[in-house]
Amino acid sequence: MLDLNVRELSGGLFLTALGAAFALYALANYSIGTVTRMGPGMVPLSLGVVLTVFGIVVTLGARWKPSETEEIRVFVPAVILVSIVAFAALIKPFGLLPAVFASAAIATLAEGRVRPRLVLALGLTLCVMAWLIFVVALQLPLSLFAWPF
Amino acid sequence: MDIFSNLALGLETALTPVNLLYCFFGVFLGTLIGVLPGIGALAAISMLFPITFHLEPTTALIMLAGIYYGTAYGGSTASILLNIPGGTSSAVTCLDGYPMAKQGRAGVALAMTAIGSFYGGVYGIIVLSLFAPAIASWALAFGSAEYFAMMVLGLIAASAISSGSVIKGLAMVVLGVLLATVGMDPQSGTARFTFGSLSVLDGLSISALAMGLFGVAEIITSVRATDSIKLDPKAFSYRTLMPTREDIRSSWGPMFRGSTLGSLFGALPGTGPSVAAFVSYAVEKRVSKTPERFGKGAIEGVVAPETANNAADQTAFIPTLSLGIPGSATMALMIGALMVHGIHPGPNLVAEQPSLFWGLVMSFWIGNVLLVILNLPLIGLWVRLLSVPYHFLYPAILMFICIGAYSVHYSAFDVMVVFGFGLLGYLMRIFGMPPAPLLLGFVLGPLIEQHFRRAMVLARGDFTAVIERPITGAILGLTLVILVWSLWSGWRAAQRLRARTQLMAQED
Repeated sequence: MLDLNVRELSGGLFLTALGAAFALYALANYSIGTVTRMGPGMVPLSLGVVLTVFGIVVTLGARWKPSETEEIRVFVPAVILVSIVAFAALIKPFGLLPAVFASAAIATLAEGRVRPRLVLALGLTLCVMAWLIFVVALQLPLSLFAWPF
Repeated sequence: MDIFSNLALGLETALTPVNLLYCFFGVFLGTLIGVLPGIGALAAISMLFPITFHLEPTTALIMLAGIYYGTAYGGSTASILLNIPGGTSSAVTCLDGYPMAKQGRAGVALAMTAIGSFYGGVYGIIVLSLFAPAIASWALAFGSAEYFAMMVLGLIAASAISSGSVIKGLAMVVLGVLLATVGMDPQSGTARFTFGSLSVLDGLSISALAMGLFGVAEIITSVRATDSIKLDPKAFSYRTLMPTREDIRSSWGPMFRGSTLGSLFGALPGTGPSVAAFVSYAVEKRVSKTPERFGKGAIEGVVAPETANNAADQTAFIPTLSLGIPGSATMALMIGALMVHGIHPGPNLVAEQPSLFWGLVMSFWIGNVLLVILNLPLIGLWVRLLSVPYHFLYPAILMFICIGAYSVHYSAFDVMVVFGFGLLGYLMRIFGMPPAPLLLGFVLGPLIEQHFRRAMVLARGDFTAVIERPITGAILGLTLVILVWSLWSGWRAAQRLRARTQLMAQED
């Protein structure tokens, strides 16, 4: 009866991989130094090893953990994260307001429905809010519109 | 050192119009966020964190602190009226607060909560102003070895005592320290883990990390899960905000015990307002002559935890300001706000920045008074806010996060860092890994590494020489005890769980 908890297993492997990546990269690229005079690689290497060990412990622990049933979402995180990427991509070339509107419009899709009137109203409201709070009140030097071409 | 001249200086600082204004903003936003379900204090503070970069450090801290203790006031409102805790520290208030609301005594519960919160806040402030300077002057003699030990204690305690798996908590601390090594190594000038990019030479931005881990990950789990609430106007009534003489008489004891417990748990690393609230509720139930009333609308069960969590909110600043060691993720953000302004938190802070320290302490007084004023007469406004639907709220929160991250260095790269940590934060939620220890590790990481390397140089590479220093040895010993105890109790809990699942499997 092999009754592995997949979620714990992948969590453990995730930690192991992260730890190993930090440790190996530090080992390959930075000088480790001695205990008395530590080089820049010493702390990342040792902590990477510790993280790897923790990862292995969690991975082995997956053998005994009962499985949970909490849902794993894919659609919602994807939409939310894309809306952040959209902001990052638009803010420099097109300016603040297009970035705010686009990210808000994309974010509303996370509800699982397309609602054009909500998108329009919410997007415009947020643009006004962003302008009032960040440009008028806090006086940040943000360009509202830009045209890269 | 004359405490009265210090208090006068603090009052002078706190009463400047700018500081007064931002103190008001802070407690106002704090109450707002505390009332709104689906967004916690930590997410809120990380969201507004970048805005404070453009303020004076004292003003920045006054506002962030206002948000922090303001949420404790606001959180109780949602707990009492709707049985939905606005934050973890007011979860326990639901137990007796909601039954009181159903009996038509919501007004009394809210009024006594505000009074209790004020009492707890004031008690905590007094403890803070007495103890923080004393601890700071004691800690002035600390060397690198002692600092290293104190930070390890803080990190281990915070990750081990928090709920969930101890191993995962510790792993997150380690990951946090590792992420903090990204950027220029201050001792050798080597660029670590930058992959040739100039954007990360100064390290990953703490605000982007916090907003991704707490803000974005929280939105992802709350979308479509947080329903907007239909308030039944008959469920509570404001016929009487005035508590009866009986209510007040039976509240003195709980208020005193609650604030004493709260002050203690607030100052200890790893525990905080939530633990304080739960313990003080349990204590009230234990000392009560009529424990059967608890859970059915006992006023003591509302007053004690609310007093305790407010006292804990204030005393959490003791280790943060006197030692520079944050006991919780929120306090780590406060330290981060100081460091962004080039102020190194530590025992020198009280002596070198008296107007910052005492100004902050005095702003707590003003903030607490403002909170009572905001909460009692304006309660109707907050209740109406409870019914704002989440699908209006989360795009606005996202907008704040994106613009906030961008405005720190005006770099789109920082927004992508938010994206990265949002993804990591959600993965961590799936895997049951707590984000708070990661943030603590990230903030303390550079200091730990620096002090450790310096201590080892001074001890000529001999680790036993470090342990043999009396204070260092004692602190590291205590750390070991906490670690072993929490691993053991975690193992026992796992055993019980396994026994139960086996039992269930047999029954099937």
